[in-house]
Amino acid sequence: MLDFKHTDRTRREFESLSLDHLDALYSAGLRLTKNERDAEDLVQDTFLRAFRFFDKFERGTNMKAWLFKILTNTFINKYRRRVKERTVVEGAARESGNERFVTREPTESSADPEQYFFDKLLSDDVIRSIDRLPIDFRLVVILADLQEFSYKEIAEILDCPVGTVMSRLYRGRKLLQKNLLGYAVESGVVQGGQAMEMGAVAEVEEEAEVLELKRRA
Amino acid sequence: MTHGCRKLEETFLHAFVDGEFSAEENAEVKLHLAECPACTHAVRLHQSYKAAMLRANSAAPHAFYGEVRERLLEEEPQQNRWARAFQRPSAVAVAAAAVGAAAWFLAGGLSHPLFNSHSLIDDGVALHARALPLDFTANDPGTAQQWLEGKLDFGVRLPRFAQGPRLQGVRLSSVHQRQAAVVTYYLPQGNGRRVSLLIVDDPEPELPGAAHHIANREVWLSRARGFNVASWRNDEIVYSLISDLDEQDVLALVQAAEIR
Repeated sequence: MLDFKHTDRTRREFESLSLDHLDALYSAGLRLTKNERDAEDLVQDTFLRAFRFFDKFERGTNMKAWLFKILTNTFINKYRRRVKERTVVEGAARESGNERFVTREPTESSADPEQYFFDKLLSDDVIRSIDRLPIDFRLVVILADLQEFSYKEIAEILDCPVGTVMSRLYRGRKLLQKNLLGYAVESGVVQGGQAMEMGAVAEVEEEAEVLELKRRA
Repeated sequence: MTHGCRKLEETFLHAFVDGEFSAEENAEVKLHLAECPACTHAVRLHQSYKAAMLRANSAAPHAFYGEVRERLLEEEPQQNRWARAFQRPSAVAVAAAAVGAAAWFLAGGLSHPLFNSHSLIDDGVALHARALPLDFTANDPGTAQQWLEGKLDFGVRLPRFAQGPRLQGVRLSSVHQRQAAVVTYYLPQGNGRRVSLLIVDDPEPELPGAAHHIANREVWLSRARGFNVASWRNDEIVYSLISDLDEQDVLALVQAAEIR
């Protein structure tokens, strides 16, 4: 079948399918690289690669998942080391890097009359907690909780079994919630005792596994 | 980690909130939730966690969308840039210059010695670009070939395309005082764009461009004024397929042509 893959029409088709996901890719890229400049580079790279390999994209399948597979592969292959290096050099200098996009207001309460721990949190603290996750957990949490991909889609994006996705997601969430609790107590949003009942503290054995993963990373 | 209910695990409830279950499974979980405060609490807590996570998403900077599009445009093959020049106000001067060059070209530029070596291709491109009216309309090659018989002083064998270009018709023309036929096709898959097949009896031994071996024949690819031209020889007759498709697509067209 002739598909005239490099014509104007293809570019228009690519743009119409891909550019809708720009914000999602940028948001995920920002949490992966933790700074705006690298996030923009990563997303630019992702779009270029996707365009070059657009003939490999099966029409009618999930474009967003396909783009995120390219994003995560690009990040793992190219940016991870660079970001690590810069983190060492710049240290805490970028701490306020996210302020442009973050509201300082406490988040709205849910429709439920009861107030839950997470309803009161500051988005800044949520972001800091995500950023502190080791990369394997961060990837899964970003895909599941920021981008709302299904377990199966995440397994395809990361090229790993669904079981691995589920266990990393569970542990990643627990670890994140533990970080979050620390920040929330620090900023006085919640009292220390209140958090225990939320089950937000990771178990000791999970901590050990996390440390093991960190060491390997 | 438990959440105070022995029946359902926390990971199971997370999967429920994450939307991993079927409608029937969801209904079963909801039945249980109606009578279990511990699970209801765990579900609500996880919902509030997920809502907080969604709020932590960032929007891309305003200018970024434009930057990505600009960068994508740079990735395009050359001939698309030519077409785009006419859509962009910043390129009006370039477009005007191009129109001027084309006018000069059609007004006799062909006879300039500079063009002599590739005159066949340039002439064909000029004919293609002008999209002159057809002398005879036909959508099957047999009818068109029959019509051409006796009108040219050489025999023509029109290629058949199993897929891709659809025949529209034929126009008689001349290239360098030699009789020629211009067969017009359109591409349903290529946004209806036109493809011309210039057929001329050309005794010149060499065809311009880079040689490719496709479907058991030598095909020469060259470019002129933003168009790609694929030429091959059948007996002494030269067939040139002219279009604004890129090189790969032109080669795919030649591949799809059944030439007898």
